[in-house]
Amino acid sequence: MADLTPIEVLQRSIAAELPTARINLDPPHLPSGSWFVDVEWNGALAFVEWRPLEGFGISPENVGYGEGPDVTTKDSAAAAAAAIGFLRSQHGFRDALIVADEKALQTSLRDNFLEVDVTSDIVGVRDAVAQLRRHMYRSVIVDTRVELSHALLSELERSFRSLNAITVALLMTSSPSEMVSEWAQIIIRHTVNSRNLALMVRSLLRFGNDPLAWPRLHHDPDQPK
Amino acid sequence: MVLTRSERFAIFLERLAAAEPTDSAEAAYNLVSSTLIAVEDEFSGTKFDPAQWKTDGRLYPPQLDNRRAVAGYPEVVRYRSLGHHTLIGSNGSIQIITIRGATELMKAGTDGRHVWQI
Repeated sequence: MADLTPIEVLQRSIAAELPTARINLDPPHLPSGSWFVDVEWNGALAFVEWRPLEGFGISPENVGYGEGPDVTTKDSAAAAAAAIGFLRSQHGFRDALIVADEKALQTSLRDNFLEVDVTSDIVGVRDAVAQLRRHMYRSVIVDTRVELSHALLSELERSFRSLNAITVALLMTSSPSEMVSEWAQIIIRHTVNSRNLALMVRSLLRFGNDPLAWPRLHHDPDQPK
Repeated sequence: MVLTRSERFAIFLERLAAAEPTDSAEAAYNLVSSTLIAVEDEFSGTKFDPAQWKTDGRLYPPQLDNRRAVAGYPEVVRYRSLGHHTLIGSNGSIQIITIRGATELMKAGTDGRHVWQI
C-alpha cells in the first residue's frame, strides 16, 4: 500500500476487517482543513479525523460537541484498529455460543468453559439462527453430528464474514459424551494474515505441549504440571 | 464550579437558544464560538488553550478551516467537528446536528428563517 495516502490506508484497513462497514469520507474544502471518516457498522458509529500534519484522532459516537478525540496517533493502521475497537465495544460481544442439542454435551462444554473463564450461551440447533441474530459472538462451537440447516450455515457465514469471529466445529466420534476432550476434533476458521497465523499456530503448539500452562486456566494445586 | 461535559453542553444550547438572533453568517459563527467559550470558561475548569484541544477535555468551537459548502444550499455553510455538523446560514441562522442527523439546536436568523429556509 506504498502509493496510498494515509486516509486510503485507513479506509482499506477498516474495510478489510469489517467488510460490511459503511465508510463515509468527508474531505476538507480548505487546504488546511481536516478529513473526516465516519464508519458505521452494525448500527454503531466511530469517527476519525485526519490532519496531514498532525495525524489521526479517533472517537466513538458519544464524543461531545467540540470535544477532542479519545485516541490520537500518526499511524493509519493504529487509527483503523482504534476505530474498529470502538465499533466492536459498542456491541457487548459475547465470548462463545454453543450450538448443540445433546444435553450432556451442553453441560460438559458449559462447565469446562466456565472453568477457564469463558462465558457461553447454549442453544439447540433449531434456535441457533435467532440467537446469532440477537447477539454478537466471538466464537461459535457447533456440534456437526446433527444436520445443520441452510439457514444456520448462511447465518454462520454472514456473522463470521462481518465479525471475523472464530468458528469451532466439533466433529464427533462414537465415544461417550463424558469424554468430550478425547473425542472432539477441532476445525478453526478465522481470517488472519500470515504473521497472525504463525502466532496462532505457536499458541496452539504451546497448548498441545502443556495445556495447563496456558493463561486463564485454573490450576489444580494437587495436580502436577 | 466544574460541570460534566453533558451539563456544559446543555447550558451552551440553552444560552445559544436564548441569545438574540444574528443577521449574518459571521455573526452567527461568532455567537456559537463566544457562547461555547464562555460556558467552558465558567464550568470546564480548564484554561482556554486551542493548542491542547485534542487532550484537555475542554469543548472548543468549530474550526474555521473545517468549513464546507453545502450542495444545493449556497447560502449555507457547514462546520464539521468529530461528531457534529454546525450549519450556519447567511441570514444568521444556526443548526447543530449530530452525524446521524439528530438536531441538537435550531435557531432562526433575525429574519425568522431557519437554515433550510433560505
